[in-house]
Amino acid sequence: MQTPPTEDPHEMDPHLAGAAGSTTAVASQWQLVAWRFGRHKLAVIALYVIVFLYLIGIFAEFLAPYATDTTRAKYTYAPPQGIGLIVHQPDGGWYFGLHSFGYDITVDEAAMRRSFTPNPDKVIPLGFFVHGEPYRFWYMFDTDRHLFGPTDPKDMVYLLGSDRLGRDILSRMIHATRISMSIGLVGVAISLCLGIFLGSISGFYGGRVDTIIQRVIEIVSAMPTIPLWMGLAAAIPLGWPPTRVYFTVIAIVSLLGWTSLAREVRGRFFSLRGEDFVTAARLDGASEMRIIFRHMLPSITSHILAMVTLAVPAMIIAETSLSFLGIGLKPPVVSWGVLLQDAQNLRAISNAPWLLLFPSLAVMLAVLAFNFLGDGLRDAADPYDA
Amino acid sequence: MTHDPTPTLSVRNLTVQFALRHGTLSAVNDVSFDLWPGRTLGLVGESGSGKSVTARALMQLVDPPGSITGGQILFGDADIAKMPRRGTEIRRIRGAQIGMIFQEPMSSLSPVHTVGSQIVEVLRLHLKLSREGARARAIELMRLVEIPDPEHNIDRYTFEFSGGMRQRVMIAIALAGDPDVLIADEPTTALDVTTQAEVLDLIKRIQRERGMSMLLITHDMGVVAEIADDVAVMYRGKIVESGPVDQVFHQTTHPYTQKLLASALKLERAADQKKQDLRPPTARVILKVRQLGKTFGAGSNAYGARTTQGVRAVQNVSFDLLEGESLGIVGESGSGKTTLGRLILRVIEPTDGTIEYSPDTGQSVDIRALNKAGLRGIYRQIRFVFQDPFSSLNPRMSVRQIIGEPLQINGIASGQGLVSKVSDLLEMVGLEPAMMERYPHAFSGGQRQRIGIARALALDPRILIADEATSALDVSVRSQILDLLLDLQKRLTLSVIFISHDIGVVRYFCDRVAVMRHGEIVEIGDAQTICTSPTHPYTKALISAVPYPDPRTPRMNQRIRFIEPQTQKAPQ
Repeated sequence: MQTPPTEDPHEMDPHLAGAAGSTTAVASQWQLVAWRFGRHKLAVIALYVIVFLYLIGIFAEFLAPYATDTTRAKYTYAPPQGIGLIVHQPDGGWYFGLHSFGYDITVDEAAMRRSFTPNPDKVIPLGFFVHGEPYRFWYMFDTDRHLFGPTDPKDMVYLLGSDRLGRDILSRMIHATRISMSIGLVGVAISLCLGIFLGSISGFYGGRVDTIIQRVIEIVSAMPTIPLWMGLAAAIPLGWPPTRVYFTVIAIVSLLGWTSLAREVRGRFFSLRGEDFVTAARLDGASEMRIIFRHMLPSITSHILAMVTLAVPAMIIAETSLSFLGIGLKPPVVSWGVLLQDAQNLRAISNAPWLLLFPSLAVMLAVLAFNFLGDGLRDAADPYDA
Repeated sequence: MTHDPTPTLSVRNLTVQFALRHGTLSAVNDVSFDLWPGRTLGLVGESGSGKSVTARALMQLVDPPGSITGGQILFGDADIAKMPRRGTEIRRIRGAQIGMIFQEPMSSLSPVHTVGSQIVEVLRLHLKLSREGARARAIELMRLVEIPDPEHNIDRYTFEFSGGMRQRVMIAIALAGDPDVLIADEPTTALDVTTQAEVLDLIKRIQRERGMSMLLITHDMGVVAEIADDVAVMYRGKIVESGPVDQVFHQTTHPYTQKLLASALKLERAADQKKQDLRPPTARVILKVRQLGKTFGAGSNAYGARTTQGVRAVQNVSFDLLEGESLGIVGESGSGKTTLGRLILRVIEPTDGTIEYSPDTGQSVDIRALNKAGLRGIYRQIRFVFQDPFSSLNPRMSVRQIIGEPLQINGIASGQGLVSKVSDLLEMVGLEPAMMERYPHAFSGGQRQRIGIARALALDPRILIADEATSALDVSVRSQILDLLLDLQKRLTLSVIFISHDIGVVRYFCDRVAVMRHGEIVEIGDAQTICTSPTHPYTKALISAVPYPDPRTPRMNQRIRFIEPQTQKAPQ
């Protein structure tokens, strides 16, 4: 009722309409979605954050100064080191250079802990595109270049601190980003296929088919998730290679995650089913599968995209909780959940709070970003109403 | 009626603009008019002319991104245009001194409050009446708007009321604050023609009795001719012509008004084409419908025994459709005419009767007995044109895909052949073939309906079922689409079943007419005979209720009221 009049002024004369069309810009549906999405500032920021996180995941080996399993027994529970730009020399002069200070380690025999104090005399020069540990990038080429690290490969630097075995938390978190963020995507992909298939059938046919599918959904969503996950995860043989465990965990998580997607797709189909263009397709002689996949599903793609975005964080959280409980991914695979396992005991938290802090922040950042993005997409999904 | 020297409300150079992505759009541009006590100004225009925005501006109800950017709305000593949108000043005027009746009586009333409480709320807000006083006044108002048994109906909910009764409640609410100005925005557009006539009667009577000024917004020239004293014609945000109703109708100066009147008058008689080419005398029956019926919601218990009666949406409908003829099916909402159209193609499964289709070659078939594959064959020969040009075209498909879909599915054309077939079809319905790559939202309502017709014609059908195919369109576009259909029908010797609530459209287009009421055909016969000398009392009432677009021959005064034979309720 409040929409401004947009009627084609040349309605009176159909022959003029062709000429008029060239002056009115014709925006495609996706352009309209993009415009409306652009107005949602928080969602746009969230989109950048997510792209950033996936880039980290993709280039993990290159971005991380060290591998996930590089240990230095000397540096257990080393606190985060600072970065400086100006190096003061003992003779009073100074020069400009990225650096950290090395630690002086004193061992407290009684408390069985090491304490670290930065020593301004031990300057560890840092640099970009430095040589470091060799690795095989994307299973294709061998290199030892890292984006960032100490210029001397023998030096160690812990920007986010180290863990029980003296492993660099920053490197481990970068590698964990790959696993945790991809679990979200792959898991949602599986949920999506199940959800769309069952949801569209349920919504299109209605009646008995719908009743059966809806009861299944209710049963699945009534199950207490954590015990069920635990049961399923317990069935994973210990001897399995990490990648197989990884995919099994994804499958377990997504087998329970499809229900809300299916419900939403069903609801959309219910409302679409009464639309004239669906009847029109039927009267064109289209088969039921053609009506579902060619006429109805494309109408809700933008909604599906929004639903998927909102489903990803649930997957990430699920994986994190499973791994945290020790029944999901297991070392040597690193995910945020696996990292958090190290923060399970109180001593670790009191001595090395960074073990808890940084992986939790990463999870929160990812989940919030996906939620904001999903909200923005959901609002933008229907460009024709406003 | 005398002209009071001062107008109740005057609008001077009003401009309302909407800030859009690319610049601003002036929905209302430099509009001036006066509302005089005791007189009705009819603001006429087609969709998008800015008439509703004007009405909303008078109450500061234009929502962002729109805003009043210029001009004055002088009401008493105040200028409404200067008042803030959410201020107390305008709230004191809204509902109290200016009342408004909206188009949709369904969505303008709350379904969770009783009718009475909604009237009482306005009374208590603006007149500060006590609870009992407000209730008594509400009953009085309901009696005024001719709602039967107001003492009882005051405690009912809106969904228990029919459309016409709801609109009466809206009028009662608008009158509650005893306003000086009444704004009626398309008050009868959502109503049936007989209900419309009664509501218009009522509004007119109340306005006269109370000496209110009224602004009546409508697209219907007939309604204006019946009840307006003055007319202003709006076109693309501007008033192009205004004056007393007789002057505007009979000494029309602006070409747009002339065009509007011509389109309205055109539908008052049969199309010129009809007079020359009569149906071939040897026309055979192409579709034979017998005892067709549909009962919705007839429940049965677990043993299969019938438990509830269900609603008989269509019952005992029989007719023949001749080759090359157009048969109109007229009725008010709820008469079952749309259901009937869908029953023929089994979009809705019939519960009784037979539908026999006899193509010019081959066996005649009973559509009801066909399986899915057989039905697809029928879908190629009997095609459907939908009412809503917006929801009937898939917004995610280009015009080429939409029109090409039936061709592709039935394996008639693909690739380059499909493109050339689609451009032929577009040309046939008067659209540029170059437009085929565009999406439906780039087209206006009339153009979309042409696309819908092209899709229907893609399979060279024998029968076309047009379900209210022109009712969503403006009057000038409506006659263009009708002429297109007439032309195509002649060229392709199509038989057409034309379903409509609009007598004018049916009279213009159809050879024969069937009048439906409560799921049954009450009268069927030659279109001219039915429209000029109907025999059934319901048809008489229906035809006499249609407003005529000429202020010199108002029809409503000689209206015939049809009274339900069963209930025998005395008219007011």
